[in-house]
Amino acid sequence: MPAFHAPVLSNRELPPDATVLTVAIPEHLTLEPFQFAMLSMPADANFPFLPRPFSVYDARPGQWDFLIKRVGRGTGSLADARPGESIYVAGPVGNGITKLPRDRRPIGVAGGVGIAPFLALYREWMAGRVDFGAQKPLLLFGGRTRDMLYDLERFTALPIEVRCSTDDGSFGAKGRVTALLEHALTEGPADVLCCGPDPMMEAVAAVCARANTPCRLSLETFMACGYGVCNACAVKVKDERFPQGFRYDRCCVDGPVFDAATLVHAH
Amino acid sequence: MLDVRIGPIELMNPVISASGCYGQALESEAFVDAHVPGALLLKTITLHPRAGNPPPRIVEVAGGILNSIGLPNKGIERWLTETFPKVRGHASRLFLNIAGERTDEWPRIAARIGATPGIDALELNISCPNVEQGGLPFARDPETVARLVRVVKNETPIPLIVKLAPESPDIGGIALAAQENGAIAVSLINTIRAMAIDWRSRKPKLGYGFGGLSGPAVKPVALRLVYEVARRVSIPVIGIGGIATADDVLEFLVAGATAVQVGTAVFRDPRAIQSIVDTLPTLLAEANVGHIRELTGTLRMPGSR
Ligand SMILES: Cc1cc2nc3c(=O)[nH]c(=O)nc-3n(C[C@H](O)[C@H](O)[C@H](O)COP(=O)(O)OP(=O)(O)OC[C@H]3O[C@@H](n4cnc5c(N)ncnc54)[C@H](O)[C@@H]3O)c2cc1C
Ligand SMILES: Cc1cc2nc3c(=O)[nH]c(=O)nc-3n(C[C@H](O)[C@H](O)[C@H](O)COP(=O)(O)O)c2cc1C
Ligand code: FES
Repeated sequence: MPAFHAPVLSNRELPPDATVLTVAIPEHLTLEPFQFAMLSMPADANFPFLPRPFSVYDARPGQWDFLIKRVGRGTGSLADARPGESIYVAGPVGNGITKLPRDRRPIGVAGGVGIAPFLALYREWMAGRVDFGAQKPLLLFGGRTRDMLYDLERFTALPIEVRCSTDDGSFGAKGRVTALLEHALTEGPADVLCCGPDPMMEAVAAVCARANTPCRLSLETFMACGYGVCNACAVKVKDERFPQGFRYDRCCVDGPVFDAATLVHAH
Repeated sequence: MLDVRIGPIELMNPVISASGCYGQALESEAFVDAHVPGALLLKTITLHPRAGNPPPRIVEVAGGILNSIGLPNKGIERWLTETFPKVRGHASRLFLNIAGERTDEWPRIAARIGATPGIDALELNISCPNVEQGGLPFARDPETVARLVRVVKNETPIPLIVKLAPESPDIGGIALAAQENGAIAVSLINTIRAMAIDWRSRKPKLGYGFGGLSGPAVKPVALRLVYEVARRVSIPVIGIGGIATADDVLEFLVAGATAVQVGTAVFRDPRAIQSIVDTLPTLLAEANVGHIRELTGTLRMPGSR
């Protein structure tokens, strides 16, 4: 896998707090949906000291997009990068998703910036590189407000079904995305893939467990290296062979997607 | 122009991976061929499997990071039977880092490794806390370290490197104890014990409470300690701490090191060791240094004693 300086080609702001950064990458790089890359600003070598993990939002030959939400200094400095500057990219890393069960309806559940890995998933499906079975995918997209349904138009333009919720009711159903999910699970057998804030993912896992529906979560665990050498990204996975009843897996190389039923949840 | 010698071991270049920062197998090969470092040095292996500490295990601080990873590993038995066959023969040299949690575990790990072919050296992580001594590190005094090196040496013919802790009150004495009891080299420094605090929640930022500081912030401390230890011992010194560039490597050599290890830098740049190895010949040529060995211990101290 390569690590390289990637010239910033464009920076498209998604007010109030996110941006889509497009960078040039080596032409031959391929990507599986839900893989990610470790990004840093070469100029800020001292702080933030560590690179930050981001899903590859969109992959085209020679270009990658990243959807970056500003939450702190690392995301802030990357989101400020402008054409003419370069960012440092290591990746793609992590295990991608190349197929979903054929006999169940694939439901994507995204919270806020957790939408990022889904664009590549649906694009690869349209290109015939991700095997989904015959049913039209359903995307449930939740955010606090309409602004946090990032880049919604790009998803509604895809040949998939999209249902939205906002906490304040500014768009779609008012309330939590889990309410949409509970309803969708009554419509037939489904397979759930979810990415979003931890509390949302735990709620989604609980809903799926009650409905006996397979559920996978793409975790946003803190990472230092992103390629398996440091053991920072510990994820508690149930394992009866250990006296405590769990072991720690590495989110970066064993994930980032985990079967929800195998995880020891925080609450 | 880069080959160096650590006791009986020839290294193609003096740049070794630091334990705990380059995986337990060939994870680093995702970015750099495992033959590139002079030696591939893997994460500490203990006698029994360990799960490691609760997260968060790493936090950033100015100029570096704190870690409280807690030595997660499969234990020596499973490492040798499951992991080693995949690693053996895939590196220029393979060094294994080991630690005991109790005094009697050290000879048992060493005995299990015995004369296993394909392991070129063992690095003893004596910074590891001794659970019998309420978690005080084995590295606290020369007598303990002398005994430890002797018992390990009794069980294995593989050359030993002793990895020193920066806080040891008598680090020079410990290095001498290692040398007198047959270690082929000492390596330093391990991380510096430290803390990070979130004052609002009144909690430490690391899941374990304390952690070890590494990265550029520790380099000046490491350089001073390498300089001091290299003056006390005649065996090679391996410098560790904050090395991220070829210039950093040469600073450690001038201070007295024969080789170096690169740790934290590979998190930010997975290709750091490759870049360093590629850059060293240019720096040496520019400075008219014929061979990297000529630099070791050439520091000109003002009014040198
Ligand atoms: C596999 C993976 C893929 C990701 N993909 C994306 C993506 O496509 N787009 C995107 O915007 N973000 C993504 N993230 C999250 C992103 O990496 C973090 O938001 C970022 O590391 C925070 O860095 P910072 O320096 O800005 O924040 P810091 O200054 O480190 O922290 C600021 C705040 O953010 C919180 N925070 C820190 N790290 C994380 C984290 N890993 N997850 C959630 N909250 C965190 C902190 O608790 C704190 O409250 C992903 C994370 C992972 C592990
Ligand atoms: C995440 C992390 C894990 C580490 N794990 C180990 C370990 O298992 N055994 C060990 O002897 N040293 C360990 N170290 C210490 C390093 O090998 C090295 O001595 C120290 O980090 C200083 O070098 P650096 O600044 O280049 O990282 C670890 C360091 C880090 C940052
Ligand atoms: S982030 Fe380093 S092992 Fe996963």
